[in-house]
Amino acid sequence: MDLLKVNQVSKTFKSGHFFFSKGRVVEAVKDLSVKIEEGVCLGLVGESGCGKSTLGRIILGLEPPQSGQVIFQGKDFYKISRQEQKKLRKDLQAVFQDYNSAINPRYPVKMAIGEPLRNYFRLSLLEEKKRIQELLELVGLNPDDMNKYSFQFSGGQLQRVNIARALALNPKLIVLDEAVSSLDVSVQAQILNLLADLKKELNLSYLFISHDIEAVYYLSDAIAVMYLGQIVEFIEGMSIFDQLTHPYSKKLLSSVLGPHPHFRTDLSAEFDELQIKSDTANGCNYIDRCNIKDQVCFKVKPALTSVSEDHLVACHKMKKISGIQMAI
Amino acid sequence: MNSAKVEKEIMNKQVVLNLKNFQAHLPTKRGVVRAVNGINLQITQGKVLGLVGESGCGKSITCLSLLGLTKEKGWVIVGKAQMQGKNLLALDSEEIRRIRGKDIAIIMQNPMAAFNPLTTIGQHFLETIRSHLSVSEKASREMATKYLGHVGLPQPDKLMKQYPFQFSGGMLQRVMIAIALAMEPKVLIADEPTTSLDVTIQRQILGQLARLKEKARTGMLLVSHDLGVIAQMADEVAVMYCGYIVERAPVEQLFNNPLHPYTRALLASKPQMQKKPLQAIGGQAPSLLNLDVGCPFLERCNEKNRRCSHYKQKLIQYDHKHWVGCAKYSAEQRMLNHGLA
Repeated sequence: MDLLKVNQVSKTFKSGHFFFSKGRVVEAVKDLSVKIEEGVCLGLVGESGCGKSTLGRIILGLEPPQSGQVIFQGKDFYKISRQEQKKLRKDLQAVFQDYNSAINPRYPVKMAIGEPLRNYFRLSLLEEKKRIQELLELVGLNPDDMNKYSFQFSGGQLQRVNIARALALNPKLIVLDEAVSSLDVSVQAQILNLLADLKKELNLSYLFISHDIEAVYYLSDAIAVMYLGQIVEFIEGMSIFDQLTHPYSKKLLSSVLGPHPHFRTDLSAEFDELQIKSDTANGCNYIDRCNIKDQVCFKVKPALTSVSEDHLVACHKMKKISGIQMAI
Repeated sequence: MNSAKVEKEIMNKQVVLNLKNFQAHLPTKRGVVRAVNGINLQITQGKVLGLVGESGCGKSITCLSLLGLTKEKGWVIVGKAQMQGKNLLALDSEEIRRIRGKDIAIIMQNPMAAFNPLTTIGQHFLETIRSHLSVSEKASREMATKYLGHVGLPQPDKLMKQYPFQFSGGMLQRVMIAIALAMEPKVLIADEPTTSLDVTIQRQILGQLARLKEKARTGMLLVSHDLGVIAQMADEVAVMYCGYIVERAPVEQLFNNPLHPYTRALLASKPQMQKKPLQAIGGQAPSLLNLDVGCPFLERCNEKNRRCSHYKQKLIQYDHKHWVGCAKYSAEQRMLNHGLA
């Protein structure tokens, strides 16, 4: 059974005077459907501003969508009562990018880790202490660190504390919103390894939101590429990265810098950034930046269709290619 | 090498900035923070020197000190930074102000925080130009538009009247590059210029910097903790750890034949489109407060021997251009190895 099912959710934000127009509507997430099974890590990649974090917040129950459903463990999260929501939240945790601001600097970290425990269980002080020490050990910290304050930790250690807090209630799904992006390479490797181990050990599911494809590839079992509020490509159980075929996915892949000076990437590409398309009614969202566009792309919005098993792409050109392949 | 020979080499290679025995210490109540402990770096015209290291290893302090931005904050700076016959570290605040922004410019890590939110992009530009050149406002405006165009920003006239919050991070970073380049500096310090940006934008910004290096022959100090960025951009690399340079080599050589255990560990810890477990460096860097004698990497090193605990960090010439600071490569150790062989 799917642990989490997101059905056609949309979320728009309105802003007043902005840029050159008087008031405008940003469609952060648009008719998006995705599901996460138990024990699986779904990687969500995309540029900043494409709606990755908004989707994460919708799934966490922090941002009610305008339409659509978020079904977590068989219950529609935004339809049930607050008490039931609270019950569901126990299985739903988050780790954010800014590890520093996620922990109150005025209390020792045992308060931060113990807070979810105090919210849900009536533990004695001794039991609580024991559980906190257990959690700290689980994430590779010294149990005696529980009395330290956040400023006494380094970035990587503090992110471990955040992970310990997320694990406190034995959750089923953890949303990792750019959880390793602001860490150093060597520390990033430590945290990625820790997350991979915990996933195996505790049978956790992750929604791993990041703009770093290399990190996503390392941790994820499935990858969803997001562009302007929609998923443009979804691939599961991939073994080779070359299988990503959407022109936008390819662009993201080509932006990954070669790890060796011998293979220098051609850096001469022209500038182009995420642009909000003026006319969203018709045509493909990616049309302004696409280099293989066609007449069809201006008229019809491509739907997410399967190209092969466990591989969905939203692009007219891809369908054609696969069609030819099928004909042969 | 005797000093005359070094001087000659510097002349030949057209070294624009020569940092000699640079130290930066911060006395605090709990002791002295030894952020930088005697490093030597040369920035050459039209070349990129990459500086790699973890956070807290003294990279940024080195950059800020070169611009005279640390003195008033209580840092004790020792050493020489020679640029056009002047020692940047000994100049008073008025003298350094004349150089800063003109001969030596900086691109900061966080473009969002580097701009004043209350002034327009145009005003930022004019401030830099008019404090160094005596030109009319009209001329400086034209100059600003020209440079904004150079970094590929559309409609520069319009952008001049806009405020920083109306720009995305990538655009602001390009504005910062444009301002840094307006005065055609001899040295450009790029302190983690792409860390806070998206991968696609990162690639474009790096392309911009690479083009500049070719066109304007600017000497560049590129600070980053991302080895991918360094591999793409740098001509020479210095690896920094706990305020020491632990390895220095041309970029190909460093990636082909990393000598210092720390460099090796750094190279191994980057996820590279693979599923096998990452080799993280265990533990963490020691506090800069209590740097003991011996190799600072000792506790995290998996190639240590008994010599390491009293090794005094210094660079040893391993190859023609390859320097390393590790006891394994010291003369005594090599003699021992040969003796055994």
